[in-house]
Amino acid sequence: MEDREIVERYWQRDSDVIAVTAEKYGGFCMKISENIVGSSHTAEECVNDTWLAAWNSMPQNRPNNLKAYLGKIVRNISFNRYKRTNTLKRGGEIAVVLDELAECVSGREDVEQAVDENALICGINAFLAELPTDKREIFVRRYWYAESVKDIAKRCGISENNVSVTLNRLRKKLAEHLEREGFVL
Amino acid sequence: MKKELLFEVIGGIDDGYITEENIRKKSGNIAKYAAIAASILLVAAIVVVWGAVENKLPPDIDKDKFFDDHLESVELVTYNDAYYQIIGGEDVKTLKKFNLPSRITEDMVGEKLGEAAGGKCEGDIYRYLPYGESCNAVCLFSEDGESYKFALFCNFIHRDDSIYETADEMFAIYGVSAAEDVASIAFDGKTITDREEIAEIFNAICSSEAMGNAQFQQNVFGGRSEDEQQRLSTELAENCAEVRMETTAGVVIENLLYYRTGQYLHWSLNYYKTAVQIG
Repeated sequence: MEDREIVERYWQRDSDVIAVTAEKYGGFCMKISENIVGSSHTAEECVNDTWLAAWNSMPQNRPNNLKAYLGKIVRNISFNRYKRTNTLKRGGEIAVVLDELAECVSGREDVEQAVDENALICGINAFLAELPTDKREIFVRRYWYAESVKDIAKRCGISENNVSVTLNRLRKKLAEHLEREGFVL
Repeated sequence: MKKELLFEVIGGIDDGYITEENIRKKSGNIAKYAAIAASILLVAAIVVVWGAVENKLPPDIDKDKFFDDHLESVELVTYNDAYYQIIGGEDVKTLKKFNLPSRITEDMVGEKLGEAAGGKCEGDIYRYLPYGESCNAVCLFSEDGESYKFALFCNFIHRDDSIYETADEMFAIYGVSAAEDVASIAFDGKTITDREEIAEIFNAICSSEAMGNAQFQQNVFGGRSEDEQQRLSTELAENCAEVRMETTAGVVIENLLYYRTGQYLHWSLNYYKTAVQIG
């Protein structure tokens, strides 16, 4: 079924659409969640919460890109779950991803309050727009999907070393770009 | 700002970036198959040329001896996603070129760094202690854990010709993190040891624009006619200098070429466009 039709059925409050969504995007959402929470069981719960969140949010929203819309929901739910349950015991791929991102920020909470998140998203979008497609894919795969370096290397057909080197450069570039744009992180 | 918040903010990027890979993948696969096809063609071309050379040899010449005399076989292994050349104690010429001893004693062998494999051999890579922990370009290779040969870094494996390492990253493999770590730089045999001059060259290389082969080809030859490309190739070759560096630890960095035309330094599949002329 086409995404446009699926969204239409959400708007018509047709509850069968959840099964259709799960069939089409279940694997996609499951992978994102697993990358973040690190457990299939917890990821399954997050994905179920995603269908509910989609059901509740759809009459207000009419997403043009359903896949990305669901991906954003499951990413949020999974990350909140991760923060809640892993405060003391951090591990898995997401912990490494976060440590890498720590290179781009100061770690100070007072700075956190001063940052306009919407403006920062625009800044990151501008940074991504300047990147060649292959580099952008590596960045998004790592810092949006929280994919492992090994999986990214396999997906992109390059070595793990190349992925690591590219990510290292992209983090530096992102930090420079945001600083140039006037963001104090 | 905390890293968790940055991860959350990245979650809000444009939808198009989240789903764009599916579109690109198709062209990526085409590029991959094109690269494989090109490799097959290259091998085929070498076989054809090889056959032609073999057939043109006078009948009184021993073909095996001819090829042995004119071809130097190089033993390569892969380790840490890079090619390393294996140099045994009998290859005195190469060892001398790299300031390395012909005999490796036990006190030179450090900890095991990983495993390496090549077409003809398989074994482990060990640290070469005289160059310290920061140098990964000169290591030791052993198939049996008893006898050792040198393993010299050649280049990282690039499966895509847009990939490159920055000059900083390349220097780091040789244990060089600052100009002070470089003892000398030679251009076509003319050796520079003046500290200020070395620092200027080092800084020019480190602040240069790094690129892979694809971008270099595009920058230099892109949009030019075949005649112009031919003329430029000749000019590049004629104005090219062989560069050799030696670190304060004694590590030799070889196989660098500096194209004065265009100011490009060619180093292990990478190209660096320097803002000023060096050497």
